Amino acid sequence: MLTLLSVSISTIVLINVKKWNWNALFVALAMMTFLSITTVNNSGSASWSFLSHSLAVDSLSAPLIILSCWLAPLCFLAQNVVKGNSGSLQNGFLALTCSIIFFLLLTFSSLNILSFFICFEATLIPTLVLITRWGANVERLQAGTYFLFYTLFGSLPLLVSIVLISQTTSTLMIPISEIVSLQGNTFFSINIWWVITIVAFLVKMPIYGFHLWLPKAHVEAPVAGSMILAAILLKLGGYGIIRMNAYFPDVTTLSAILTVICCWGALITSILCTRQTDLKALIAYSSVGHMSLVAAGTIVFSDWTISGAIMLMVAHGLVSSALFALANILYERTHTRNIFITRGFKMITVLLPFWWLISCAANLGLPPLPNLIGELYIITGIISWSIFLAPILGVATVFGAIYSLLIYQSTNTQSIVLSSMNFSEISPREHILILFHLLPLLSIIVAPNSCMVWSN
Amino acid sequence: MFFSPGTVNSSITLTIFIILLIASFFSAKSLKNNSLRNLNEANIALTTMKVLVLLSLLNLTIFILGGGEPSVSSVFPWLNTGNLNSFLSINIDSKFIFFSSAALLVTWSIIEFSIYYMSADPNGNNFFRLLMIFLLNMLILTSANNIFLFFVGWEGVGFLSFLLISWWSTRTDANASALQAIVYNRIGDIGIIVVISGLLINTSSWDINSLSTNNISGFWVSAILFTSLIGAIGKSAQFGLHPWLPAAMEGPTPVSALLHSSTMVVAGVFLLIRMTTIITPSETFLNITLIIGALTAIFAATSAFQQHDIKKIIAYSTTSQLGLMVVSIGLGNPNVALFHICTHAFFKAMLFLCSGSIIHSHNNEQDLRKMSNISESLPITSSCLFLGSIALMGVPFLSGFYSKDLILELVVENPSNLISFSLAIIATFLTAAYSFRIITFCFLNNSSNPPINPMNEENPNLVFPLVRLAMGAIFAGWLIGAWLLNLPSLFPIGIVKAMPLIVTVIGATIVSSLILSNNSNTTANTFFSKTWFYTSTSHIISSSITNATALTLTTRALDRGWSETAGGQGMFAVNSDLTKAQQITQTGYIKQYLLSISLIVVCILTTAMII
Repeated sequence: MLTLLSVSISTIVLINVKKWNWNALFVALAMMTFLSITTVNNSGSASWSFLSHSLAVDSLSAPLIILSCWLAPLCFLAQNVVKGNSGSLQNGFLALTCSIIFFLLLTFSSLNILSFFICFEATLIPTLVLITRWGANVERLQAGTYFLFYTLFGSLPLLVSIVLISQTTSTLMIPISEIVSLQGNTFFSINIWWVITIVAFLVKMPIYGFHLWLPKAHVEAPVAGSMILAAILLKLGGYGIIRMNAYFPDVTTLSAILTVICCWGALITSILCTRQTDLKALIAYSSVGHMSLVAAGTIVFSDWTISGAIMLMVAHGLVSSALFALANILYERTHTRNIFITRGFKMITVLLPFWWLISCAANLGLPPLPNLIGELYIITGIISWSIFLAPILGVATVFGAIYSLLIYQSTNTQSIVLSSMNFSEISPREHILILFHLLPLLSIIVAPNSCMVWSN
Repeated sequence: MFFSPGTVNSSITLTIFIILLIASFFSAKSLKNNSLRNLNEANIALTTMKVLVLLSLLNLTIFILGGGEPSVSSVFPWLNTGNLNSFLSINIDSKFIFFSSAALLVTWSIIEFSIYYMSADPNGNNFFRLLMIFLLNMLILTSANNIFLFFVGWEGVGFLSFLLISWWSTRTDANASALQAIVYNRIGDIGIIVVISGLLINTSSWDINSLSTNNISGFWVSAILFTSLIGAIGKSAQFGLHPWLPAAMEGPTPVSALLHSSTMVVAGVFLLIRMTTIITPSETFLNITLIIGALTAIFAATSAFQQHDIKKIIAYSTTSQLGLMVVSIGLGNPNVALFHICTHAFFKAMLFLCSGSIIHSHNNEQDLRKMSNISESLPITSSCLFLGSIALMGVPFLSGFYSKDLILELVVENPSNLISFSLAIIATFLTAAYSFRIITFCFLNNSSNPPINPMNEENPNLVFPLVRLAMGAIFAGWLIGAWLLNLPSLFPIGIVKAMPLIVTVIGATIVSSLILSNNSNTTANTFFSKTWFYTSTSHIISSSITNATALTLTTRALDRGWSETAGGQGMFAVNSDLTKAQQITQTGYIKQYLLSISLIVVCILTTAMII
């Protein structure tokens, strides 16, 4: 674990390597990815490994750590436009990305809730700078404001709750959270305590209702920002809920209400997606839909749903990041995000439609891709909790299929609209970028247990 | 040394899977040199299919000689977590063996036909590759014992149908039809997802077979049955979720022949066959299935009668036959449904290939009214078309007769259902009617097509598949019915036995004599030609509701409305109002400041004194 952290720190030093800093960083982060694979735990049990004073990995955080490491070099591959800027600006971008990854690693491996909280908040600042500095349009400032204030609004109650937990149980260590399950004095106090604890994660995730910052941030962020945001930062929410829920085994009333809200949120966002015209906003809303499902899974908090939630988080991280990268490939050539104009690329490209197809198929949950395994587990858990949610989730999957395939069809099929477009060929860099997003899906299909937690 | 037939069967099946998998990965660029990499994909596909047909026939022989015992073999441990012990396992039973042999025989012919039909297509190689992947998925679907594996096949065939329907991707109609197919299939998939959940919740296992052994509550049994019925309705285009199948005719004709007549669309029926053999179905379930099947049969037959696109007629006729298969499941005879699947595959694929040949020769003209005189210009196609039509009508001793007559007799034997009997008889009548409508139009002697049409059927890739399927259309029913499947033996009275034939002859006679004089646009004609106005009402209503919901409710009212007002914009407005209100006090006059300070002091003092 320390190795990982030291590598990620050393990347910041490497920025000073003149002329070769992109390559040096890329290699360092790729090495870190390889190292991180040692954290994977295929036994499926919830035991801790790589234990130190304040850092450790278990089967819940290992997939997310690997995902963070995996995405870091891909961000460099995607954000090629920055290379046109001056050296110091480039260095700034590299430093921001590296520091996000560093804090993410710390967040996922912290054993202490307080340090988890601090690192959780620390990822906010570099992301904010990434959005507001490297975004393309003026709206990026509003997007940054939304991003900052929605997230901060949620996290202050969490701090209060952490103080309360510390006062009640005299410890903040995560591994003993299951033992010291909290008891409220009254029915209301425990429920409210639970809500103020998880509202930060619900906003971060985001579930429907707290999601407004996400489409704005995604649309305005540069591609690397979108990728990190979609792939990992949203998953912090799911991770946090799973961690904190262990303290509150007795909350049932409010969690029931929240589960239903999340299921409806998944449906509403999928319907909403069918009328989106902005490609990046569409992908962002589809993230909201999927993460609502994850939220429902983590709130129901059974073995099935948690395993499904982790599986869906990892798979969705890869797939939505791939979709953003693909959207950026088109954006760099057409300079528009409108899906009614960017169409017909099947006529002039060879592999690009294939990448779109695989990514969209994964997004809609085509078996045996891991997105489906995750969704299936979550839906199974939710249906066993209440059969009446089956139609809602079912219709949500139908609309999920509709908008995913609409993305594919509108970008690839039909005839080209922008006939005067200057379409440069898709470079090997871009092919590799997408390929490395999709390859891990294969390995997850072969060994799905690596993304699951079973307590028994 | 002694091998158990089950082991041999499953190894042969796995070999078939692996060959298909490998074959679908070959890439071919040119025909310039003779290395393996540069083999034409079409030739690879064709050779592969020949090998696979041999293998599947071998499989069938071993299975029959070995006594026909079903065997389950676990291939690969997968998703073994928690209390779940699961393998990717395949189930080799009579259903899979018969289906795979029939499907591979038919696919062989269709792939050979595609070499003729798709010869001018620049992406032909991909086309064959997709067909291979489709076939792999279809075989996985029919052999799977693990329900996840089943779902892989189930979704896989749906997705490949999406890709193949939108093969000519610059056509808006093709794209819309492809999306329509996936939407209807996904609606059916809700059912499958619930089935999977029910299986996992109740038995904690992925094995479909475990449904028969575990004690499951009555609620879940009926839930699993009815949701699998929903899945079947979506996949097999039963009434209610049927519009995608005729729309799918936008795809190339080989695709229609393979996916939308003989293999993919019967997946739903296949699921029902599986489920009803594992779980003993309740009376209500059977009745509902029966009614849905009969309704589909009659609906599709009436719609087929008034279509003008030759492929749509055959598509509706497929829907009607699928309805008959579901009827036989509703009567509690899944084996008969399987029998009809196998025989239907041959003659329906042949009909599609014939229509493809006619369309190709008429310069991509699909309108039935513009086809004529094919008995002179396309003799082999026309004879096969005739043969396929009368096999479909159930003329004695062709394939269709064996299976279709059996279903009709079973309907009669079931005394409680006069409605389904009359519906089935009407459907038979209409089958004869629409078949003879095609024949009458196509065989008419006054040529109505332009003389420059490139009429030519000397391509061996066209003739051989047709002749091969014609053999199947003649012999398959007899072969399977008399020797291979265990079918219920019925002894109906003479009038019942003769009834379908009499009805068929009447239908054919009436139509072929009246069809040419009856071209007026009556209300009934329009009603049937517009397929009961189902598509024109349901699609408009559902899409406008969805669009309105997406725009006004979710986007404007919720997303840009309530969420913004309660969230970002609302908070901004409240804050800025408060600040403005508070700014009124900041006037800069020392008098007002002194006044407010003294007021506050007075207030504090009075409060303190009162307390």
